[in-house]
Parts: sequence; structure tokens; C-alpha cells
Amino acid sequence: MPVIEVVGLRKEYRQGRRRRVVALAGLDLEVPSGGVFGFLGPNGSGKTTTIRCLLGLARPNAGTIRVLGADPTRDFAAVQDRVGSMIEAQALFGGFSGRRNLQLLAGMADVVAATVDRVLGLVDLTDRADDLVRTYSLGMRQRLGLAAALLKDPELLILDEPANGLDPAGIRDIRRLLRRLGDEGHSVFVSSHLLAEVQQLCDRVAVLRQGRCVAAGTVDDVLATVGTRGIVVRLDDPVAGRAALVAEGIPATVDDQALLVDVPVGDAPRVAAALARHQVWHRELRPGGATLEEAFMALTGDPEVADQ
Amino acid sequence: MTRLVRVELHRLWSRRLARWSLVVLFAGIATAPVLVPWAFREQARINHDADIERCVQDQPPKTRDGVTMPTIPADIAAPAERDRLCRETVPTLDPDFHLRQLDQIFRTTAPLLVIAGFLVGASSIGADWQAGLLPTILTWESRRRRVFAARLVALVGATLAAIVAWQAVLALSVLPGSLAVDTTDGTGGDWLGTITGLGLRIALVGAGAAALGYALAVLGRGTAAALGMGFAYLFVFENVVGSQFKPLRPWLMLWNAIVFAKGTFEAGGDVPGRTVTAAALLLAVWATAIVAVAALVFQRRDVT
Repeated sequence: MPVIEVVGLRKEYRQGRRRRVVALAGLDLEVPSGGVFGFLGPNGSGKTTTIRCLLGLARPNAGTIRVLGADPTRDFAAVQDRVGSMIEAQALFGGFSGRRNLQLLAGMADVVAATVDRVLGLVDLTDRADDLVRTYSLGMRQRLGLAAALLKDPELLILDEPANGLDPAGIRDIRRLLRRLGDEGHSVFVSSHLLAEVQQLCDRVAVLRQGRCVAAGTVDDVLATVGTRGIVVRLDDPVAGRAALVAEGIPATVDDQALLVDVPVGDAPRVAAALARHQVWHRELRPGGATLEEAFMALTGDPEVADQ
Repeated sequence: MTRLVRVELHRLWSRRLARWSLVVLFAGIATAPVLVPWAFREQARINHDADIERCVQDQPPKTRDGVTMPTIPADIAAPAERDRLCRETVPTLDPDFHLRQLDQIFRTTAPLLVIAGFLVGASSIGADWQAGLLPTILTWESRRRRVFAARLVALVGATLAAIVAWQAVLALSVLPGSLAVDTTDGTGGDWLGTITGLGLRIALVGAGAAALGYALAVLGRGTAAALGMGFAYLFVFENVVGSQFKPLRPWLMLWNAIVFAKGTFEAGGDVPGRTVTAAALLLAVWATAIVAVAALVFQRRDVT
């Protein structure tokens, strides 16, 4: 059973007296149980609004939502103990220590006290746990917010931009933590702008544009939607490889330690044979796929990529 | 629910405004043993000067502590003579602070306590709107009515307790001075009942102000909005509407709050014909209506 099911979700906000802004325009989304699900979209595409609707914080104008089988607009309380969340920059009490903040939240949901220390350790905040939150950096606040989301040992974790403000080491740590949670059977739903991170972290992704889902599936499925471009060949001497291919009438360019060969993927055997004839041996030969960033740009309307 | 109220009490205590209000109020008490006797002597001196002046100007005399100030015949016209005679005849009343006059201190400090209650109430949720804390709280307890009610109970209870405690400590702080100079006359059981009732009624008005501040901050999504609405009501609605449409005045909050806090029914007083019980009922209706509207809005509004 999917942990999140969204059908035809529509949400409008009033701006001023008459103007209405459509944040979600009939969103359909299905998040399977287990693993890490990436939720992508440019600013203003409706990611945070979707998350607010999933958590029962905003009421949709139309459509249905199911989170762990419950309708969050009416009865989020039925599943609130099974859902951990972090919305944008998680706000906590600046006048309390990180530990005290978590203890207060734990007190709201019968979470045993020892769990507070455990989650502080998970996000590497044990050393600063007794400092006031107002003295924390943005990255530390993010980690504390993540710790708060983990307190209930939730089946479903909904995180809005959890890597915001983190340094590269922090991003890596969070990626590893989320990946581990996904592998342990938790369902992790994460929105992010860090596409390279999403590509490494997520099993499945959905791409949002102007309040609608424009692509969803495994990362490979989404990459395939923007097609493949030629063949990538990795070898020890790309310059010699290029010379060999050009001599055989196959167009190729050197890109760092690889060759980009501009032929259909079906011509891969011909490319391999051409290199072999010139005693040049490749280490890897694969279809030249787009990166998630390129796919994202193409799907969300970046003209430079869309024209390709 | 009990768990939520406990958590909300902890949160309330984390507010710097709540802490500072208590620190300032209790710091005021530290000065009370010195300040109160001085203030009463100073007031006695000012009253004495005013009574002489009224006597010289041949204005209707005041009655103080049951003593009606004397007048001198109007046919004595020379100002110097009038001044001399008035100074001789207007008595100097006891300038010392008597414990039975504690009600005057309670009445003087009541507006401060009520304003502090309103501020703490408004900031208790207004700051959460501003800082984005509500989404965090509502993802942990999504039943909004419970969250709203728990906060309200914690806030009203804490404000009530804080004001009562403050008044008790204030009374205790001036007690040794009164015992030392033997000015505890007239402080029997009746007085104790009266002063306790006054303190409790002021505390109730303060707690009601906290509830109103809270409700207005929910409606306006912020402390500043609540303060704006509160002051607009006091200074615009109460003043302008109350003075332009006099029949409305008995139904507004401020004067009924004064009648209730004073606990005295005076025909032709602050609100002519309004009894203390009627004032209490009217205030309860106002507070319930505003809190109910805020609860309804809180239940339905998107939390962003």
C-alpha cells in the first residue's frame, strides 16, 4: 500500500481581496512504502504547499489525500505518531537548549526520554545538545529539526529541504542517515533542490511544475524521459581514443577522462570494435544519459535544455 | 490534555516577556517597604496642600478618611487672611501607611498587572506565529482544539497564579513595616476578606486580559496585531464610541472591568446601575465570544 496517495490535489491561496494564486493545480502523486522518495520542483512549484497539505496544516480546495491510509485534512491525529516531519527551517524555541526542545516535543507524544539522546547522536548534536538553540548555526538548527522529526521513530518521514544550510560534510551525513532509514524500511519523502544529492539518495522521484506532477518514477525512468545522447567511453588515453574513432569516421569529443561519441546507442559494438582495431582498450562504455539536473531543467521548462 | 497543558506551561516560561514581566514585578516588590510609606506620606502632603487651596478658594470641601475638611466664611475676603485661617483649621491627617490601605496599592497597580497579562497572552502565541513554531507543534498534536485549549488553560492559570502570588508577596513585604510602627489597625477578618476578594478580582481581570490578548493574537497572527487591536479598542472604540453613543457605554468592557475589579456597586458610579455580578457576567460574555471566534478561526485557518 502506498504511504502517500494524492489525487487531483488543488490548492489556491488568496492574495489580497480578489486575486487567487493557484499553488497546486490537480496534483497526482503516489509514494510507495519503504525507500527514499525525492520530491523536486523549482521555487513556487508547490512542494511546500503539498507537504503542508500532507501534514494537515493547509486545507486543499479539491482532491483527496491519504497519508498512511488517513485523510490528513480531517484526521491527521490518527497517524500523527507514525509521521515525522520537518518543514523548511524547523522552528524550535531559541530560549531552550536543543535537548530541552526535544524533551518538550517528546513529552507531547509519550516518547521515552532515552530517545532524545539517541536522535541527538544520530544527527551529531550530542556535544551541543545543552546549548541554547539561538546560538546554533543554520545547519545545526536543521539537524536539530531532523532529530525532532526522528523522535517518534516514524514509519513515514516527510522532510522539506533537509539539507538547507548544511556544509558538504553535513549534507553527506544527512544523505547517509536518510539512505540508511530508507534501507531499514522507513519511508522517506524528501523535497530538495540539491539534484546531485537526490540522484545519489533517492530510489524514486517526482518532478513538480506549476502545481502538477510532470514526471515520476525511478530515477532512471525520469532520466529516460529526456532521452539519451550518444555513448560515453571511459579509457586511459581519451586523446588516442578520439584519434582512433575519427580515423574510423566516428565523430567523438574528449570530455575530461571520457570520450563523448555522437552515434546512436545501438552503434556501441561498432565503437568498441573501432577502438580495438587501433589497440585502444576502453574501461567503460555506456549510453550517455542526462543528469538529473538536466532532466529537471528539461521537465520544468528550462529553455536551454528543452531545446536540445 | 494534562500533558499538553504541562508542555504549554514550560513553553510559557520560556518566553522572555513572561520572565521579564515577573522579574520587573517582583523587583518592584523589593522596593515596596521603602516606597510605599514614602508614597503615602507624599500623597498626604499633596492632599493637605490641595485641601488648603480648596479652603482658600472657597471650593466644596473634600472628605478624607471620614473627616470632612473645614471651610471658612466667604465674607473673609483678604487672601492672606484666608490662607492663614485655612492653614490653621485644615487638619493634617495621619500620613503613615496603614495596612488597611493595602487596597489602594492593589488598585493603583491593577492596570499594570492587566496590561502585563494582555502582553503575555498576546506574545504567548503571537511569537509562535512569527517564528513559525505552530507548524512544528501542530505536526505533533494536530487536534487544534486541544492545542488551543491547552494553551489557553496554561496561560489563564499561570497569569492568575502569578498575579495572586505577586499581590501576596507585596502584602507580605509591607507587613513588617506596619507591624513595626503599629499601623495594622482595622485589619481584622472582614478586612482580610475584602482585600482577598479585591486581589482575586484583579487577578481574574488580568487573566481575562491574557485570554483576550491570546485570542487577538490568534486572529491577527502576531503579537503586534494583537496589541494594535487591543489599543484600537481601548483608545478608539471605548473612547470615541463610548463618548459619542453613551447608551453603548454600559456594554463595553473597560468600565465593566473597573466595576468588577473594584467590587463595589455605586449608583451613578463608573457604569451607572451596573452591579458587580452583572459586570462579571458581561465581561465573561465578551471574553467567551472573542475566544470562541479565535478558536473557530484557529481550527479552520491554514498554518503557513
